[in-house]
Parts: sequence; structure tokens; C-alpha cells
Amino acid sequence: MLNQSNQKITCQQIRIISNERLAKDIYKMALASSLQALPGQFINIKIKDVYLRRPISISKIEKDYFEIIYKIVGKGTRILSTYQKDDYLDILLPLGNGFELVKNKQVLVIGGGIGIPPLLELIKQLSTNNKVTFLIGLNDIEEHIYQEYQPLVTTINKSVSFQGNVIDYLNNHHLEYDYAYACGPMPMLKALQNYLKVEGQISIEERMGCGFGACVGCTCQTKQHQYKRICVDGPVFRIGELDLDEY
Amino acid sequence: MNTKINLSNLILNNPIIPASGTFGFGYEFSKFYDLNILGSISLKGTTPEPRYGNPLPRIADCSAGMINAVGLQNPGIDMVIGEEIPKLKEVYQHQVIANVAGSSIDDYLACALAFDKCDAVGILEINVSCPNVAHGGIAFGQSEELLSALIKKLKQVIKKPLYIKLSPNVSDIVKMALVCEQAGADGLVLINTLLGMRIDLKSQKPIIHNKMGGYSGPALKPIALRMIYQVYEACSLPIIGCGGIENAEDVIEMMLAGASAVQVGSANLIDPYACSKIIKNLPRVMKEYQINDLNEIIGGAHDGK
Ligand SMILES: Cc1cc2nc3c(=O)[nH]c(=O)nc-3n(C[C@H](O)[C@H](O)[C@H](O)COP(=O)(O)OP(=O)(O)OC[C@H]3O[C@@H](n4cnc5c(N)ncnc54)[C@H](O)[C@@H]3O)c2cc1C
Ligand SMILES: Cc1cc2nc3c(=O)[nH]c(=O)nc-3n(C[C@H](O)[C@H](O)[C@H](O)COP(=O)(O)O)c2cc1C
Ligand code: FES
Repeated sequence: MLNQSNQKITCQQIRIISNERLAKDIYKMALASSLQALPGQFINIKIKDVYLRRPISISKIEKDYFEIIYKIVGKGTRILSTYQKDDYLDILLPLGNGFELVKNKQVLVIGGGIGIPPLLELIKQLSTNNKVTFLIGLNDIEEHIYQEYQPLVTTINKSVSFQGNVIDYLNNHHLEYDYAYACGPMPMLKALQNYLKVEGQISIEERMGCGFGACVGCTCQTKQHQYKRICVDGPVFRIGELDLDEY
Repeated sequence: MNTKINLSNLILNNPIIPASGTFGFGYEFSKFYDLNILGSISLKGTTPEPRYGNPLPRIADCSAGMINAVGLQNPGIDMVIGEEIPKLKEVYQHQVIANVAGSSIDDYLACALAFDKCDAVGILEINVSCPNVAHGGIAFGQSEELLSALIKKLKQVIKKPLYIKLSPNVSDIVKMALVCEQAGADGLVLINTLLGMRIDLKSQKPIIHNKMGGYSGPALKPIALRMIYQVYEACSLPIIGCGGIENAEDVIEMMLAGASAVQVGSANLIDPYACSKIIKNLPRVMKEYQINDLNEIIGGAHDGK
């Protein structure tokens, strides 16, 4: 069990401050709520015309608002992109365990695709007490909307100088680090769990029924065959804790 | 105004019961509201041995509902009685409904005998309708002979009331209900999930790892209403109605069809406060439709009532 916020889970009607397109199919939404949440926690949004709520990570936490960054991948996120400023969303929050913050480390933070947003608030908070290197893997440089965080970038196509996935990047560059955080698609996390020799934490995604522990729709197993619900026991886990091979 | 219901001598303050599998073992919901407002609680389906359940993905979204293929993940009867129920007792004072699952008569017997000795349990709900495991009891829910044999065997040894949770995946629900009645069951729970599927257009394969799963949610309501109505006409066992209930109006509708109490399932997953909201709104809706005592409306939609 990693960092748990002591804020009670509530169901709130939250006002949209803005919902803007950042790149093709990628949107950022600011929501008016003074949320006591931790980097790595997520929210579960009721979107009109779809049944289940949609889980999205918190990407920025400010005093009286917070932000999410989401990608249109299906019906729910498509409808989400049509909400306007001053519309209200029914949101369950904050959910899951956040990242535990380390101190006085050389930290490597690795993000892949739409796994990058939950790392942004983490980087902000880690920077005070650590030396942080941020590496992101994208399909195409067009998805690069994270300039203000000055990451090292690798892309699957030829749009930047280095071409390959994050493991290829690590194999070809000498980065100094003694702790790691990662979030991204399951194949990337699986590969990193085998590759990384340092301690660290990963955040994983799975289709969820409830997001707060009731349906056991999101259960995974540790290497010791203990059952963990990704929504309440995660989504952040220690590197090496989970048996990712069943994915 | 009276919302008290008597289910085989289990007195419920109101007819609202969270449905099995959508409320865990209950206690985790005490962070949302005081559970003591609930009529009762139906616990997660329990098997003799711990079960991990099915591989992920287990959940798929649908219009007007969802598919789950959890596959009866549960810690096994010993843990449920030794740890889960004691934790629930700390936050819930009324008796609960224990949901029993299995793949053989011996499985059902083992769990039912253990729950029968447990003071916190008021009713045993025999799940012969889980569509999510190869031998998840659905065979019992689809065969008159197996169902009858199972109930008779249980009735010989179990003292607490036995409610049979039937599957809608049958061609004649009334026939199955009558089998239960004749074999000595004390009540029915209607209905469990419908077998369903979703296919992902990107991978062009079923979304659920197990390919199929149980379809639940608002889409089930008209089917549940119809089945409850038909069974109520033919059979005198008390019925707990279940399927797609989202609000207090739905509760009244189920009771008019013939349900004595209701279970709320998927709605808990969309809104953890769903049951507490329904209970809060029930008196207002009763007033709106000039209902003074819920007992008076059970089966009210039938001719001659
Ligand atoms: C803890 C967590 C944090 C997440 N954070 C973000 C984020 O910050 N930004 C972002 O863009 N996306 C995030 N996702 C993924 C996001 O939830 C899905 O992309 C989204 O639910 C898709 O919904 P849809 O209706 O557009 O797609 P559809 O494919 O139509 O959705 C159908 C169903 O599948 C589920 N689903 C589909 N893809 C995923 C997925 N990858 N993970 C989980 N459920 C999925 C949906 O919730 C829904 O129930 C997160 C997921 C989880 C579990
Ligand atoms: C995630 C999930 C898990 C379930 N697990 C069980 C179970 O263990 N035993 C059981 O009898 N029914 C189980 N059910 C079925 C529900 O109890 C209920 O019968 C069904 O969902 C229909 O009600 P609803 O439309 O209100 O959800 C489950 C349903 C869901 C959605
Ligand atoms: S999504 Fe329901 S338990 Fe995790």
C-alpha cells in the first residue's frame, strides 16, 4: 500500500473551467475543486450517454482547481471532449493510492503515451527534493504537449532524433538514476519491470467497473499470488510487486 | 408510512438490499454511509475454496448496462466467516443474506452448512445462475432435475430460509420457479445477469477475456419485471426482485410486479451512494403515489389485486 490521501471519497458536481484541445485527440480539462489529492490518484467521471464511469488521472493539483489530460479513444472520451466551460460533471474522487514521494534521490520518471499525464504532478512535487530526469515515449512528436516539463523524448516513428521505445532509449543512453517511476501501456511497464535494476513505483490501468473496490473487476496478482484491486490497492505499485506476465 | 417487510421472518426496515457481487462484504461501503439504513445486504458469492476468478479484462461497458466476468472471486468460506463477516458485524447490526455458489452439490452443502451456523446470516441465497465460471452453478439453474435435487438435499440439513437465485438464461422461468417451490425452497431471487458479449473493433476480438459475461444494469429491468410478474402469477414463494434498479420508482415498480423486496446491483458501482439515495427518496415517492404501506402494493399490478 502506497501513499493514501486522507481525503474521503466523495461524489461531487464539479464545474468545468476549461476543456481545450492540446493536440490531435488530446484534451486538457480544468475542474473547479479544491482537491486534497496526491500525484497518481485518479477520478471517475460520469459522462452522459455512457453507462460506466470513466477513470482519468489527475495531472495537476492547484489550490482551487485541478486538471486532467485525456485522449479520445472511444465513445466516452469523445463525448467528454464536447463538454463546455461552465458545464458540470458528476465525479467520484479522489480514488486510488498516489505515488510515494522519495527524497534526495536521482529519480528517473518514465512515461509512455497517455500514461504521461499522471506523472506531471509527480514531477512537480519530486523536483523540490530530488534530481529528476523525465523520459517520455510517444508515437509521434505531434503528441508532444509536455514542453514545460522539458522531458527527453523518444518516438516510435522518425519524428525526433532518437527513434525507438523507452527501453531502446535507455539502452542507448547513459542516464544516472537510483530510483524510478513509470506509467504507460502494459507492454512498456512489463518491459521496464524486467529492465530496471533500481527500486521504484509503477502505475497501471485496467478496465474498471467501479473504481472504488466494490466489484473486483480489476484484480491483479502479486508475485506471491496475493490479490490486489488496481483501483484501491493501486493504481500505484512497487516495481517488481506484481506479476505482470498474465497480461 | 410503513416500509417494513417480512422476508421469511427476517424483518427488513425497508426492502432495499445491495445485490451480491456489487457490494463486496459490505464493510467497505461504511466509508460512504451508515450501513444500518439498509434492509439487508447480500454478500459476495462464496465458494468452499478461495477463488481468484477470471483473467482481466473482466468488465465491459454497454448501452444501459455492463458486462462482468469476475468469475466468483472470493476468499473462500473459512475467510468469509472468520474475517469478512466479523468486519461487517462491526458496522452493520442487521442480519445479512449469504450468497452461496459452487459447482457441485457438495460445494453448495459445504458453504450452506457453514453459513447456517452463522448468527449474522438471516437467509441463504443459493446462486444457481452464475454465468461466469465453467461450473458456476448455472447448470443447476438450467436443469429442472439438478435444481430439484440440489434444493432437496439442502433442505434436509439447512435450517435457515433458502432463497434460490435464478438465471434469466432459461426458456421458461416459471417452470424453474415451480421446481424450486416443489423442492421446498423458501423464496426466490429474480434475476441474475443475462449472458452477453462485446467485441472490440480495434482488436476485433471479444473485450472480456472470458469472451462472455453477465449483462446487468437498467437494460435488465423490463426483463426482470416480466419474469417476476409471470412467476408471481404461478407460484406462491416470496420474490426478491433484482435487475436494473436505479431509483425509488423502480423499487415500487418491482414490488407491483410481485417482489416483496429488491436488490440493487450495478447502480452501486456507478454511484456508491445509490442505495442510500433510494432509501432516502422512498417515502417521498410512496407519498407521490399515495402508498401508505409497501406490503399492500406487492403484486399490485396483477389482475384482481
Ligand atoms: C486509473 C486509470 C487512470 C487513467 N488515466 C487516464 C488519463 O489520465 N488520461 C487518459 O486519456 N486515459 C486515462 N485512462 C484510460 C481511460 O480510462 C480510458 O481511455 C477511457 O475510459 C476510455 O473510455 P472510452 O469510452 O473513450 O473508450 P471505450 O473503449 O469506448 O471504453 C469502453 C470501456 O472500456 C474502458 N476502457 C477502455 N480503455 C481503457 C483503458 N486503457 N484503461 C481503462 N479502461 C479502459 C472504459 O472505461 C469503458 O468502460 C486511465 C485509466 C485508469 C484505469
Ligand atoms: C460485478 C458484478 C458481480 C456480481 N457477482 C455476483 C455474485 O457473486 N453472485 C450473484 O449471485 N450475483 C452476482 N452478480 C449479479 C447481481 O447480484 C445482480 O443479480 C445483477 O447484477 C442484476 O442486477 P442489477 O441490474 O441491479 O445489476 C454480480 C453482478 C455484477 C455487476
Ligand atoms: S474497479 Fe471495481 S473493484 Fe476495482
